[in-house]
Amino acid sequence: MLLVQQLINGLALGAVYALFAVGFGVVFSTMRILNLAQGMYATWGAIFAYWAVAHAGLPFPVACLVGTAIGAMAAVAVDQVAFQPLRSRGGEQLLGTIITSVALWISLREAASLATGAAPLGFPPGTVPGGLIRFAGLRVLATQVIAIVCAIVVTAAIHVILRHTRLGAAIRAVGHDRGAAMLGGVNPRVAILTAAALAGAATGLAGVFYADGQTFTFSLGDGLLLQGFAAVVIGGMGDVRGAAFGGFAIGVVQVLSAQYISNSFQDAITFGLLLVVLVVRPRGLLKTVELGRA
Amino acid sequence: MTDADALVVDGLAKRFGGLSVLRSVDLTVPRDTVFGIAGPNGAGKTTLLNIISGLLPSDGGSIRLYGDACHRLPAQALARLGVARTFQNIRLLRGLTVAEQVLAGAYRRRRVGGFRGSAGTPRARAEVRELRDQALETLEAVGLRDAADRLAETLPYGDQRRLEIARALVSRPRLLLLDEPTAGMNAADWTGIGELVTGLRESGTTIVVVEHNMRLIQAICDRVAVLASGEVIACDEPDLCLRRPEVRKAYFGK
Amino acid sequence: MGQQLTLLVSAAEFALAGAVLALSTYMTLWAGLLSFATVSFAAVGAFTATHLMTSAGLGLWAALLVGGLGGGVVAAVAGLLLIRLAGHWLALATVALILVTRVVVVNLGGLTGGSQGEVVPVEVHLWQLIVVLAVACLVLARLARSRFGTAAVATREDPTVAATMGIPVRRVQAAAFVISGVLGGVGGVLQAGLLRYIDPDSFYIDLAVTVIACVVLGGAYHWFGSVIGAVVFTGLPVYVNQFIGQGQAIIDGALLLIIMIWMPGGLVDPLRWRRLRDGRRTAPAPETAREPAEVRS
Repeated sequence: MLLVQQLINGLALGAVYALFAVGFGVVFSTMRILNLAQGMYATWGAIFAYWAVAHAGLPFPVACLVGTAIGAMAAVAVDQVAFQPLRSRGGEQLLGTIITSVALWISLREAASLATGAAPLGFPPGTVPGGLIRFAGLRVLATQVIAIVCAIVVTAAIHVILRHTRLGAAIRAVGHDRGAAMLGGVNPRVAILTAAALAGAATGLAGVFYADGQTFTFSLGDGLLLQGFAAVVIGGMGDVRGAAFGGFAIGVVQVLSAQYISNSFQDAITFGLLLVVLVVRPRGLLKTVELGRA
Repeated sequence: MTDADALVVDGLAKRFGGLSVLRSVDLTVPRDTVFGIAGPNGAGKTTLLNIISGLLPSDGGSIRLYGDACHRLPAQALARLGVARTFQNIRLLRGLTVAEQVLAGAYRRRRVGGFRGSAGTPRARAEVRELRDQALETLEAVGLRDAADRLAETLPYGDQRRLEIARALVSRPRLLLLDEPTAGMNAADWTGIGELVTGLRESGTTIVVVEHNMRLIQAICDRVAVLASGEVIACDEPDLCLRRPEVRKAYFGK
Repeated sequence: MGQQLTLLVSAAEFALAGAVLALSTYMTLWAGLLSFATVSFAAVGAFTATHLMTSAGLGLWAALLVGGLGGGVVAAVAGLLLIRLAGHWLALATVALILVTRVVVVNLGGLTGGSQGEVVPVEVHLWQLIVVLAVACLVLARLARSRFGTAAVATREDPTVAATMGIPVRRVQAAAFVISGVLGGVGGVLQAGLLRYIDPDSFYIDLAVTVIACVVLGGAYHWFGSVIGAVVFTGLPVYVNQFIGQGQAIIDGALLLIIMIWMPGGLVDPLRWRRLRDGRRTAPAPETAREPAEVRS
């Protein structure tokens, strides 16, 4: 029974990673950008959600929407400021986009530090749904259920958008061949902005869910970036389902290894797994087609 | 085996996924000749060149270079055996001057490497000086001596083609592969390239040239193989080859 | 005045150590590999050397030797496993290597002090830093003019063409990776000697970011760019900190962004100079798409 309980805890933690990894994977596979600023979407999503609840007195679901919207807006802004100028230059810009994403990462991080006074924040008691579901001896928090359901719904939604709509086809084509994207009748700029906004929205929501159960600081996004990064690599970024799988897998592995092996080996196991996967199966555990080349 | 043919390709096959690009290609290129490979688009000409130069693995068949089996060797090993090539879409190294570009092409002839090379010993310096002189001579031969210190990417299109040939030549190849050396050129430019190639044969280089331009092939090639749908449908002297009905059918659809 | 001088010396010291680390990253970029692994090599060098300085009483020069050796060995092993990965996958894998290195450092408490870190018993002086950097620059300048330099540039610009010239692309990249490891290990020891106290976070993502920023900011097409980049990006902040205080990272970020967008070649950009010199440019060739041909080796 303890095992099942911990599995559920792992899935709930993994849901946050999955949301983040989905956003990271979409940007990496369609635009070939290793976006190190992505953790900051989560940080700012969480900060605004906190302000919405603690200062504006808005209910938690609205705060989630605020966090999601802020994530999406931040992603679009970062894309336009940091990536668009390089993109218009053409050619392979992997190194350039890494550097500009770093530039935005450290700037947004410092801004978040100043905005919060570098102090730990926490959603005030009673503002986060506090329900506890007891079922067959298991105790599941309402927020855990919400996180898991949201992660699955968001992953499915992004998957459907990418795979089964014309806009999605354009997004997939745009990273590979701009000409092909034009042929679909979709403006490549719209496709890029949509991809960025989708990624940012998922990441902002991940930030809110990561923050709602504990106190957090402006560095919330950094931790999430590393875990989400590991999730994306392990699951494979060819497909958002792979990234989500990686997120859930890491959540479960972390919780179980903390429970059954040792707290201090939690990261060792995650990142060790990460390195093994990169060496043995660099495209991720799930066999998927490169998203950009489909 | 000193009198072996320069290149013998036997039963070469290549598939990309389910698509058979080369079915079973046989070619014999005698030494000191200019050998043409012609054929309609998609016939597998560039694929054949990529396999011969080691950039692609084949799915069957064998290749012999001056009598030695050289099948499945990687590109750098083939280059060291004396195979040099140019590319259909010119591939110059960004940021290098014309002379540096040619000097890079002489890589396989540089002997002083490793620590001795990096320590700037007199031998290393003498070697670089000598190769630089040869690079300039090669540039002279292709008519680019005056452009030696210019940035290669600022040259006009036709000169970039010449530069790529110079870069291949400076390694003193035993087999030079030219992939559509006149693609995108006007008549004045391509006759110049034709004269260059003819001159090379006289100085004793075996050349395989993939080319669309039938008039150029008639002008410079000793023999030509016509490829269609991954097979050699004719191999003969250019004038005879062009008269054959199967060649006319492949080219003109009649 | 005395305080100003101390600050200046300190800024110079960090710039010099940063330059050695930046040169380590430059080595891999030179051969066309985008790698963040310098930080891992630095961590290996720093912790190995510190352990031996503490337990065996090693002096600085011996420690540098050990650190370089350690970094080189780790780079050889990592290179063997990772170099075959394609461009952006290698970048990912080396970020992962940094994460894994930190975990190893935390869990080898007996040797590394674990998460508490450990004191570095040997101090590094300005003149020693100058000597080490000068030697590193000399080696790179020599390499640039050697057969290896030609091979590395060709490999970076077009591995397929490089292979058809007879350049053993993978071997060149492996060699660059190992040299990067040695420089990274040496740089790690220097950094440790400056910090006087190292813990797992001393060699983590932020240092990786700083180092790659130094290289790109300075100019990734000439080794001297890395040195300039290190002065601007690791030395200057130490000195300027007294005037700015809060919000410095925002300025750093803006600076990085501006340089990347308007000076993509960095501060030291031989290619741009050549282009300027060839100003009387004739019409350049039309851009043709590169066909994807694999390089086997």
